[in-house]
Amino acid sequence: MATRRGILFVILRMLLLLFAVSVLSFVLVAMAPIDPLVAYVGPSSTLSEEAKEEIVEHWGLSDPLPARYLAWAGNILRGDFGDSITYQRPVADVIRERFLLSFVLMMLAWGLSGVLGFFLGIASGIRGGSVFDRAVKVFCLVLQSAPAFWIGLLVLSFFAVRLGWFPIGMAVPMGKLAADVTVADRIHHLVLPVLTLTVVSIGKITLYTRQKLVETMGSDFILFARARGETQGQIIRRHAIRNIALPAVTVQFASFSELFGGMTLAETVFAWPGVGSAMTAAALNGDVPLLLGTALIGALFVFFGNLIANVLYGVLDPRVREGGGYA
Amino acid sequence: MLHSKDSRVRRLAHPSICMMIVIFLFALCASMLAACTGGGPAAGSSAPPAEGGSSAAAEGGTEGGIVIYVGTVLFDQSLDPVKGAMSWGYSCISSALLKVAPDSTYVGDMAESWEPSADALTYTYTLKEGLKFSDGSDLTAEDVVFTYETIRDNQAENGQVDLTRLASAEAVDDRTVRFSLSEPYSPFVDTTARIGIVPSDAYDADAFTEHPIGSGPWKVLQYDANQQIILAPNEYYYEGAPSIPQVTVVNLDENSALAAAKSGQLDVVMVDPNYVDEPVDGMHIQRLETMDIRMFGWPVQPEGEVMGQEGYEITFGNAVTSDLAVRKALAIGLDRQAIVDNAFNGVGKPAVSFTDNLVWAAPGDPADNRKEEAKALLEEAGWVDTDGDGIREKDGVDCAFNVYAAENARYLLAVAVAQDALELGVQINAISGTWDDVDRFYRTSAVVYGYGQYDPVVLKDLLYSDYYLTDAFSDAVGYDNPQVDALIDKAVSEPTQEGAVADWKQVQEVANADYPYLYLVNMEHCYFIKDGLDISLDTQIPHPHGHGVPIINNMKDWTLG
Repeated sequence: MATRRGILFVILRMLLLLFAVSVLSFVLVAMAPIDPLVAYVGPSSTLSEEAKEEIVEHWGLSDPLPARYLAWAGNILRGDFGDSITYQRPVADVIRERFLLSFVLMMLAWGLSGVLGFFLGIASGIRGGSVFDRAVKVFCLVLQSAPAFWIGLLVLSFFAVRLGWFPIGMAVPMGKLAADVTVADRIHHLVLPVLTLTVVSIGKITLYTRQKLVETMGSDFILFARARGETQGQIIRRHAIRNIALPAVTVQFASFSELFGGMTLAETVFAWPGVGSAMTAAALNGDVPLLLGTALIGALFVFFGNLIANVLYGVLDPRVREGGGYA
Repeated sequence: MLHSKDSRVRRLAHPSICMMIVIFLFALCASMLAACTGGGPAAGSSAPPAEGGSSAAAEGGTEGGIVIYVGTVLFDQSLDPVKGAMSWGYSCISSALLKVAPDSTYVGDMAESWEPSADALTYTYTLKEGLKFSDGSDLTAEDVVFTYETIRDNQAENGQVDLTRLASAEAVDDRTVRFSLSEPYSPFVDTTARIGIVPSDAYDADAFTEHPIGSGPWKVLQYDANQQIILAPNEYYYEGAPSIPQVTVVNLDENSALAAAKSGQLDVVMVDPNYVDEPVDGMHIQRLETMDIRMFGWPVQPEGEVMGQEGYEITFGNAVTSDLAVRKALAIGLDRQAIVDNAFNGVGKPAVSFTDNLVWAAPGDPADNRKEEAKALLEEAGWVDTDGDGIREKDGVDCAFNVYAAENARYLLAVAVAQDALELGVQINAISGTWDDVDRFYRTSAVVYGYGQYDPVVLKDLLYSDYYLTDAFSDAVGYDNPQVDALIDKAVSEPTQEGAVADWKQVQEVANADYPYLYLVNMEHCYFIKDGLDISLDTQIPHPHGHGVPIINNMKDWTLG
């Protein structure tokens, strides 16, 4: 019973979140000083008054804000996301054909940065204060402060231009017909975007793990374990990891939002045809339906990230499980 | 012992749960990746049916084909002419009735001849014989009528060409179309060079967004959203299929274009003028002429406020730029060549009006950098530097104004102008902003605009006084000259092309004396071209404003050496 109520509660929270996100994005877009008509026809348009009026009427640009929101929300409830002004196609189609590509990219980068960051953090933490530790720290801080697109450009100019090992962008080889594209081609094209996104998101988890490990290693029970004669490896495996795993999982799942942001920039640099590049195009063109559609997808994605983290607490820590806390 | 063994198993279980999750995620991704490939077009790539026999391609270009980067515009819009695709006066996939020739005049493309009526209300076009679409079906007057009527009836979905004045289109016979307009409109001829014809039987609004069927030299072989458009020759093209077997238009980030050129994987790469001196192995730089002009629009009205249509006050005008002496002093006093050198690395040509690359342009007096004359003009008008700060004043107002620039190249231009204007004692504050900033300030500050299109009706948007304060960016400067308004009306209702061109020239001769705009530079577009690829310089038309795309205007004539 408790579980069923928990699930209902989670669903309710999700709906509330989506509602809040949609209202907020709608207001933000409406308050942005973008003239949707200018965005549509361009600032040097020579269209006549009549033509512009037809455009305004067709896209409902002159209706008051609440009316526009209600019309849009009503359509969403019927499963209609509206038409993208940029691509002149249904928003649902645009997102559908792009979502999988973004998802693969994000999950690989997320998994890699999580695992590598965790181990790098441990390796750095147990040598607290050493040259290696300090080097890792500086490295991570630099990565944390560097913008994703800049790292993307660096990676691109080194691996794709200087060394020529990887393609300069896109998800499939240039000029190759879809039927001839192999899995190897796809992996070849995934490497640089995944590498960029991994590098961008590795700093946080590494620094966090390292700090937690340093703290844990300084506590009394570690001293006691050492006194019992356990080796460094044993201490780490038996005591330290269990103590730092929970916060690490939290940090990694909570970083879904940053991952989404990083993906948007990385996709632009690598011409990766995912949701992020659609979002950029939508924002630049004042394409409200597409922007809101991608915002909702992003919100769902982050929500599920946090939800998984909550569920995993129960798996990792029996104390949470017994408390029955899901949300 | 037993107990400790048990707890050890549990201890190990914790990190391994982490690992299992990670492994699971990897497996998930890998399986999805496989699904993308196995499922064919599932991952956003879609190929039209019945298209086979392609040669296997090596990474970085197909055998015998080329890969080009011409900006990102093509990827941010539909390819359907009904929705305004490629309406720039040259055709690639969907041919229009007319097209632009290298000397900027119009020649027949699908049309063999065209004839306006004496009242400029009826236009009759005769099609060439034996025209076919890329699916092999015949192109007849019926298709032209269908295309025009569909656009007119769905005008809201087309933000590029305007057919609201089209009263009716009629197929007189298989090869003759008669258009009737609701009011005289001479730029209708320009419009017919901008609308690609679609087949009435096969038209499908959804499919044509990515796979249009047209009568142009190329057809879409494959469309990978946001990544590439693969084009193949249309064997039914009336001049014969192009010789290059495949063209892949790729989408890249603007900032990685130079890296892309250096990687050697592309054959044509559009680049910023600042990269013209970069050496790239196996490629050479090509500058191409445009009629793309950069200019300042500046408020010619004194400061004021008015109640707008939407019920709130609109502030307009500028105390400094509304003085004709200031405008004229800058127009004749600036050193445009120095400005081009500073802003664009010397790429581009000084311009004092719309250029000779347009048939309707009225070239002005090219002699600028007349600093002394300009200074005298300012002093005469009462602009004198009294406090010794290098900036002139009049009645306590500094001779200073803001100029907004919505992209980097335009900002560089504004900075270069500001630097040169200081010599005249005029302070120009270059401000980099988005179009949204420009939208807020264009009525009270100067703005760097870019214009370059064949259709002379742009002059009406720039100068027609009725437009002021009604519509975003139309007559943005507030120019108000009854003589110019009358000339524009005359040009628009002129029955012949020659008459219209003469009127449009006169419009500019009269208006330019008031300096409502400060013309600065006629851009040149820069591309890296792979050695051995001939882009047929003889048949290139002067590029319109098109963010890199226009180089494909004569792609059918390109050859590989």
